[in-house]
Amino acid sequence: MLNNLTTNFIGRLRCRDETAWFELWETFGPVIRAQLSKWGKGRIGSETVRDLSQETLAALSNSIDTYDPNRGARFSTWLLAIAKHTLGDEIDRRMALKRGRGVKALNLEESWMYADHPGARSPDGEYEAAVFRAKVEAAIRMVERGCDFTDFSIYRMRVLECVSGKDVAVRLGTSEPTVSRRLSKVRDLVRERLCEVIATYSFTEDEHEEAERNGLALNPTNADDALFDEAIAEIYHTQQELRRRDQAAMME
Amino acid sequence: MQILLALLAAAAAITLLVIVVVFIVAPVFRIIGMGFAHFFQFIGGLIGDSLRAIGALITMVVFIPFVILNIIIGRWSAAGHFGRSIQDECRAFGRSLYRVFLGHPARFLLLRPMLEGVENRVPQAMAKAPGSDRPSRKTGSFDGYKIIGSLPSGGSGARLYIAEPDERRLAAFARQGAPGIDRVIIKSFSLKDGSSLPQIIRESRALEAAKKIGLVLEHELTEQRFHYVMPYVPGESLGVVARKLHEESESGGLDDARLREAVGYVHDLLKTIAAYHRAGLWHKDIKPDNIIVSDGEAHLVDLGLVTPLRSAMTLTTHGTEYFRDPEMVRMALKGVKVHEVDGAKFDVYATGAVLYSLVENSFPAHGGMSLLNKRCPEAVRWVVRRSMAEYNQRYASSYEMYADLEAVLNAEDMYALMPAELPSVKGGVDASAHDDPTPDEASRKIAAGAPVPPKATPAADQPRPMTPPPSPINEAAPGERSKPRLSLVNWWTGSYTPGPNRPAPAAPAENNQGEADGWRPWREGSDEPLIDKSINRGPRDSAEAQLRRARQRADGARRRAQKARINAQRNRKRRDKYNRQLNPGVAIALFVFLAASVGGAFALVGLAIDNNSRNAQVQETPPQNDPITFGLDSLESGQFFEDLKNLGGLKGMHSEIVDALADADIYDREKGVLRFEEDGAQITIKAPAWLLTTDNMIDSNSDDQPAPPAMPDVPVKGSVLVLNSLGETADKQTQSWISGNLDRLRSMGYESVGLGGSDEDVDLTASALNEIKLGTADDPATIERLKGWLRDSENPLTGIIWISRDRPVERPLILMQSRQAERRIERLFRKSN
Repeated sequence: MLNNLTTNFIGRLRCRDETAWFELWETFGPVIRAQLSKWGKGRIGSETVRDLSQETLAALSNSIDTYDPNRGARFSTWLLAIAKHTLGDEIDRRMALKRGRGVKALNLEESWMYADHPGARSPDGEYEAAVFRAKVEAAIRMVERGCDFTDFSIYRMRVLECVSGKDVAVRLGTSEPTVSRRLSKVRDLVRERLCEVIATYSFTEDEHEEAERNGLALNPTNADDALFDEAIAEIYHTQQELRRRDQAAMME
Repeated sequence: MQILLALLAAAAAITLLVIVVVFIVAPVFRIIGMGFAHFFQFIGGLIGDSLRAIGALITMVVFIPFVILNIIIGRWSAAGHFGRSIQDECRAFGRSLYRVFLGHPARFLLLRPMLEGVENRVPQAMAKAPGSDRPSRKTGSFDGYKIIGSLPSGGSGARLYIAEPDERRLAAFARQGAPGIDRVIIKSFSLKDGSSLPQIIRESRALEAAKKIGLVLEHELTEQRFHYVMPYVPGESLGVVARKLHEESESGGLDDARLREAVGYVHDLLKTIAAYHRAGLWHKDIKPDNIIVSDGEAHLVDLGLVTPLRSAMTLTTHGTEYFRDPEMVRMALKGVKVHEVDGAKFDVYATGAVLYSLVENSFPAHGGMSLLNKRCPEAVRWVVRRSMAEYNQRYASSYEMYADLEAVLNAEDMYALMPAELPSVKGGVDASAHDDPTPDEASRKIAAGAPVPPKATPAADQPRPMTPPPSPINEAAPGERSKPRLSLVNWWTGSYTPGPNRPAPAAPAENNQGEADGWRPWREGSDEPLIDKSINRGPRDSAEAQLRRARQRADGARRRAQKARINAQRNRKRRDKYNRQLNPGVAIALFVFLAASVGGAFALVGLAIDNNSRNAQVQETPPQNDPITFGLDSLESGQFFEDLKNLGGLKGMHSEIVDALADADIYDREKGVLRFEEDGAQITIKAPAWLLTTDNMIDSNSDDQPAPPAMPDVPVKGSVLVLNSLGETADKQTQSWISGNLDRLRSMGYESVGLGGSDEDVDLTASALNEIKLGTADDPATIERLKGWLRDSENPLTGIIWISRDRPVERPLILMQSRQAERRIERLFRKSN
């Protein structure tokens, strides 16, 4: 199922909308870097990983016009294929340098887009999970930008940092019911933004169902709130760990 | 019944057992486990710190060649720089030792601590090493400045030089209102050095505004070069300081004192930023590397990206990643103009990122969502979050952040301070609770006498609304905007007085006058207002009075310049310690280098001596087995002295000779003779002149034994068999003559054998006599047999000297392996006759 948001995002990328590209880089950059680091472990350093992740986006910008969501491939899968080709090119180039002659870069295979292609399905479950976490993180960032600072601080303390409602109330000089009320408000906003983000970056039915599979009920009952918060916190901390590793690699 | 009782007893026993296990055994095991954990934690810390200490030592050793090399090529600044790095390593080493022997264990167990100095600090120091201490010929010199050092170039491609202004420049600075500047930084862009025109344009964009607030002292643009001059702030970057603070603290984060210090730096930074914003500027590149900590204060440097807040240009993405607001990048990508946004908020974001980096000893890779993992008060967390929040959610101005941090610093226990108690959360910033950055010392320090825009006059105890800082454009009070009403006093001279509806001119030189009208220009180091307001009020004075006052002002300025020059010279000596003096690190490097050099030299000499003595032992007969013989005849003939001289004088004599001469009381220095007794007769012999020198004197009363005999360092050429057929039948003179010749032979490198009583001597002599049989020294057949025996491969001899009765004593039979050697020895015997 495609919607306007999806089409719009791809459309923005095709129009070379720099903010869309920056958004893409901000959201999926760490995931691509993590994947490249995993593939090239021991062969390429952190600087090369950063270069390759940028080259991946450059390659994406060259071939974004050929991307057709109707063929059924996930955008993230396609991005991963491009990253794989970029890494392959780099490895080929290095090997060619060792042999003392240049080598022609490989062409990008469009077969990755076809759903019936064996590689089109999740080539790396961990990667797909990281892509989903990146979407959730993007939603949280959108909420941070969109809602009141104090409200989000309450949400951050209560859900992401697991501080009790009473302590949050003491820290902010307010009452527990107020904390609860504001928390609920932000939680609703998170759900809303999550819907938007998933719609923006998801292209297949499978991707749309990902939220439910990960314990993030987008149309919940009140009983689901605790589970929702727990799932968000877990995803957030996993994503933070990815960021931390990315940061540590950069500091080396 | 018994069974029931037994069951009850069993149940009671089981219950008792469970109680014992739960309440006694389990806690005991838990305590034991904790003890083990504590022990292993201690062991782990011990290992980690030991490795760290070793790593620091290795790093120190790595730095020493850099110091020496830079001293050799005359790069004093670079040598000083590496010397400081050695100091850092020394400190790290000391801290590690302290922790190993006295402190608490660290957490790390891997080898990383040992390598962190080499892997991290060495590349960092290398990257930050200054370049040449002199501008290149292409760059040229800078008039009025003496270049004394350089700094590493930043990302702008400019060359940075440390310079001392001459007296003319110092006076000019003092006149500008920036006295006490003894050292400056010259940032030079030369097209010949590779700088580009866009760089020059970007740098010069906010130059005038920066000059206005005293950030820039002077600038010049020529066809090939552009440079500007800034006050020099020596010190270390905040990044380095943060790293040190974390090294000094436990691994969980900064301790209270150091956290307070770190927050204090950001507090200083905010004062400076507030001054920028008031002057209508925006720094745009706030990061730890651009903040220098000197004398416990943080100073913001690098004007490369300073931009006017009201600029009509499009936002650019310049800046440093992780300290640059992502929102700014988005806006720049959308093509937003600078004046359409509040650039001050981007500086606030960067300041929050700096605070984050101080607390975490890292950089905020995740923007506002970056986790604060280290120990940190809740209030500081709040300030970091708030300053790095989304553009519309963050502090509206640096004032608010400043007020919050001041509240944190003022709190007795920072951890007890809750975000709810911060001024920005309570509902507003209380202006009376802190020194408003507008007129504070930092402002004056930066503005250095430049006029400052009017200060807002918040009522006491009235919270200030969260509004952006006042516009840099000076806004006069509404009353002052009304047209003044003047009353003419004298039609002829044109003098006048203000009308009745205009406020009367304020009394001049009142201390609080500035605050009264919201205008207070300062002069550095004094309360004297920069502008004498009494001049503009009231009727105009006569030209003579104005001239007199102008002269007074000029005199005052001259005096101030003179005073500033003297102070600068005084301060220069005091501050020289940073760059020019030999810092302890350089001293350590030099000491280690010299010690290693001297030690190495001694080791080499010792090795050489050892080799020589070993060779001598192997190739020569031990000296004690080869005594020099002497007698009266040799003394009389002077041969003894010649031999002695060849052997290096008395200092090289054998102990037997020295003893004999001493016992004989031979020396009469005044008459220059040797006197001794031989067979009851007194014999006096004239001593050679060389023996009478002080160095060769023998003090017979001295207990000092002469140095052990040192034979002349002559390579051993071989062994010569000496067959002396004369034996004891020869007179003493002949014997002495033979002995002298054999000594000379030895000085030529030939070892004489056959005269001693060793087995080898006897064997060789017997073997030679066996070849001679009954032949004589003149018999050719005998000579041929001896030659054949000499050529025998098993024969260790190089030659034979046969002193025979058949030949004159001065012409013995000499047979050598080489004909040349044979001739030389023949010459020796003939010459000595």
